[in-house]
Amino acid sequence: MSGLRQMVTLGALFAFAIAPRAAGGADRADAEALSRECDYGVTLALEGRCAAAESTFLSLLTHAPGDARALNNLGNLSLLHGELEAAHGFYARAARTDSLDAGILLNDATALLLQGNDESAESLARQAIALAGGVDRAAGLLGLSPRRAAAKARREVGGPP
Amino acid sequence: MRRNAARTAAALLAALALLAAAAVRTAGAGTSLQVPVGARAAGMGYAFSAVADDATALYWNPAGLPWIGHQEITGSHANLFGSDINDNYASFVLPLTPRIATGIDWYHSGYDDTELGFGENRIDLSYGQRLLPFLSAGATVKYLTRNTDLDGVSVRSGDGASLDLGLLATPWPGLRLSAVAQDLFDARISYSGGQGMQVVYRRTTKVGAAFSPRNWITGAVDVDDRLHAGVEYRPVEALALRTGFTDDVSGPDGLSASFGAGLRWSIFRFDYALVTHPTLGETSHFGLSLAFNFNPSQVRIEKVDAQDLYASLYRTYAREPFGVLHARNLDDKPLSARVRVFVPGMMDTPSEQEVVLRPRAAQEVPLTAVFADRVLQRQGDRPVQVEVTTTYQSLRLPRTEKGSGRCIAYGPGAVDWSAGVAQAAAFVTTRDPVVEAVAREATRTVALMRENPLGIRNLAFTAAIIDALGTLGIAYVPDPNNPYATISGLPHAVDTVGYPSQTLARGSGDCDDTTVLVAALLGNVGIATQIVDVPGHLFLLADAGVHERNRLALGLEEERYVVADDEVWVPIETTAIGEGFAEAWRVGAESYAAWASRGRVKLVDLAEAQARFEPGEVAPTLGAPRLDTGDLRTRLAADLMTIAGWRERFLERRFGDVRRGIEIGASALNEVAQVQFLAGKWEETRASLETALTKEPGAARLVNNLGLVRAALGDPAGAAGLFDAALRADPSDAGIWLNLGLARYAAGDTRGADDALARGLERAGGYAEACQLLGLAPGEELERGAGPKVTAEEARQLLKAALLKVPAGAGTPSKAPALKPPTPKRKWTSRIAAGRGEEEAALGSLLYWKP
Repeated sequence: MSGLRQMVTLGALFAFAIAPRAAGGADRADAEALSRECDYGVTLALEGRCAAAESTFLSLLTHAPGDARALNNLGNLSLLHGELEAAHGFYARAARTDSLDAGILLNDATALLLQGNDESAESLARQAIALAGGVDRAAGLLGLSPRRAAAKARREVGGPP
Repeated sequence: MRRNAARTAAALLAALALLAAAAVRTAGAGTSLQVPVGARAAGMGYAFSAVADDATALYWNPAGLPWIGHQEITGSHANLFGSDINDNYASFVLPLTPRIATGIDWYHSGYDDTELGFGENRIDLSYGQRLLPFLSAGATVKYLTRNTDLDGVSVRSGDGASLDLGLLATPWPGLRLSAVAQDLFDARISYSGGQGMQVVYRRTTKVGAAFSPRNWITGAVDVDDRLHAGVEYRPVEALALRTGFTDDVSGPDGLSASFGAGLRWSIFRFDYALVTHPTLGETSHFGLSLAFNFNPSQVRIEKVDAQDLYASLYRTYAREPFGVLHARNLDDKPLSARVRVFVPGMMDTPSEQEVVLRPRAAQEVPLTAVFADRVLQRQGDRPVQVEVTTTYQSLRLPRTEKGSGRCIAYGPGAVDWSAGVAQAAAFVTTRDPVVEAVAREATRTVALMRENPLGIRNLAFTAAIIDALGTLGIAYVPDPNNPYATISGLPHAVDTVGYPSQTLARGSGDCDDTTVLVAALLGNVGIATQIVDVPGHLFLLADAGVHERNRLALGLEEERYVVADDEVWVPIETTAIGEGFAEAWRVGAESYAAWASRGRVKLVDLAEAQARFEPGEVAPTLGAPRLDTGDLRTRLAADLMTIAGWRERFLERRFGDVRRGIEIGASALNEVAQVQFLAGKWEETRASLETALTKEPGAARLVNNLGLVRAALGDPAGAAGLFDAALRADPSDAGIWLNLGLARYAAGDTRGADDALARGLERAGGYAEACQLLGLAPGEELERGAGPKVTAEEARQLLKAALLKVPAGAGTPSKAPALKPPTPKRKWTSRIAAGRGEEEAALGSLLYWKP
């Protein structure tokens, strides 16, 4: 659990689902359009334009009901706004749609951790790490590179380079 | 080495054979008149030229001196044949180095009574040196006098000189071979008073061999004009027993036997020998020796190799060697030694390290040293002496061996690029006060802006720092004498790199100077950098602070950044810093792409490089230049406009159709509303659903869900009304009927509840299906919960009661349960449920959500 807490405090917290996934029954062109729509929302979100990002993800959800990317990313926006329970709700629904995405579970674990539900967060993080294939890979899903994170941590504490 | 030793030994043996032949001829020509010395040698039958390992080596074989390895004084006395001819001998051996030893001795032989006196005195000076690890040579120069007295009046006296030469070889462990020529040119005495000259000692050549298969026994043979053989047996360290013989094979003296013993205590050794003679009386020899060299040399410094020193890398030398000590352990055991390195003028105190030297082996010891910070204040290049001492515990006392090497110490700024671009890290002085002042002033300017102009901290700070350098007028000027493009390709060419404060003071620098400057400024505000090493040029990658997974945050074409180590990096052409951040970025990105396409890019992570090449403390310079923050803001604004244009073009090209196709449907809002509801956000849920209803007016699922919000807010009657409305739009939905039934029940309308539940059960297809819609496990038997809640059990009871009103075939409960009387006007308490079907859950969590 301390590893998960460290991930949270180190900064890059939210895994936005941007990997292209074809919606059920959608042809290739539709899938690409949905992916770009998701990428656009992520771009806006990462630029800090959260309202525009939310609209984009809702549009994606409109075009692809139940889309795990849209739900996960809406969860991230909720988390960014401090709405931990809503974030957990979005992640839980996203995970029901795509149960193999370790990033969603990690996001959910983060939300639970911030809620103070350490036990559930740890359990979920364990599942996610197993699903991702290791701690390093799981950290990568959260936008953390262990080597660089360690270097940053050293710089922050003013240790040797 | 072993093959060489064998070859040499073969040659030596051949030489010994020749010498032996000469010895035989010598024997035929005449006998040696010299009296052998030493009680130990006497006990071994005078077979001692190959042993020669004590202070009598001056007489027996001066080549044995360097093998002794300690100082020794010895003295002996004998009354030859009991004839009152006294034979006295004293000698002293002094090792000078592990390979060289000298010695001096005095020999006296004399007879004195009331009428006749005769005396001979001889003083010898010896020198021995190891020529090869298994071969030594030595020489003894002799000065001798003779005097004859009669009734106290000297009747004859004279003096003369002579020379001995010797060789000693140890081709194999335990075996020693010797060849000695005594009085090489015959020893002559020139008598005073015109009494002529006399040959007193003829040349004597001898060969010998000694073999010690174990430490406790030695056998030896010498051949000169006679045959000598002897054995020394040491049953314990303190005791030696000896015996031997001398056989005058072709002469008249015949065989004489020897017996002897030696006692050793501490540094003392007492020897005794008894030598018989076929015709004369026996001779007793007494000897006393002091081996008082307490600390013989056990290590030999063979060489000190020192590489040239670069002042700017002085901290690196604390970890990475700048030279090698070649040392040899002369002992049979591993030896722990302390190696001290000192470079006068560059170090305050010697640097020390502990090493273990392997037995009998030459070893290379890497030399590291902690140099003083002041080496960065000393300008110019100069030769320096690297002094190395090795201290270890000798037999009794510590002993120190010394060695030295010379090299050039280059002044601050000098660097040899052939040793790698990573050395540039040593110049990146992020903590230099001047660097700190410029970096902090620049980044404070951007931090004070109302919003982060680039959205990402690292990018904004990088822009501020590059534009600050433009504001300060820092320009790229190629080095006219040693352009980097030329000197970086020349092996061992020494370039000069400016420290950041120096480049700021000068106002210009070439690519290595500007790269180091920008890296230091960025490093000061915590932005990691990598040096881009391409043929003939250096520039930088700056950490954008964005994980590669989030690279969309940049909103830029992929050609504008580099992904390395899971991070997004921005290329900065440091030679274009005068043209602003956006231009330096654009040129850097193009340059990187061009070199990368040819596979010629090498990246040097500065943080890793600084672990090896730690920057030193640079001498303080004049104060930091003042920034014109107004000009900086203007430059930043221009850059922001340029980058905003890049972004807009990227977004339009990539997401243009997406942007135009944004639409938010009722289904999406409904899905969001479900999440909000479960999170207990009633107002947000209602807002989402009402917005959805504007897009899809009257939709049954939206109205139903709005009813759930009412119920959750504690208004079951209002909820029932909305469920009614939903059923008007879609009367076939079993879930809505069930919701209506439960709402009516909570509102106290038991009859209405039964009816609605019955319809719900009928449309659901049975009791189990209805339970499933409500998230209930049909078989569970639970106690009724206390408190004003509608429990799962109550819901089941209600459903079972309602089931009685369902026409046969619609539901198949095995037995109709008794209907428990409902509690009228129950108050609904909504709370967040972890999941459906949880016992004791609030009613809201039991309701069916229409997907």
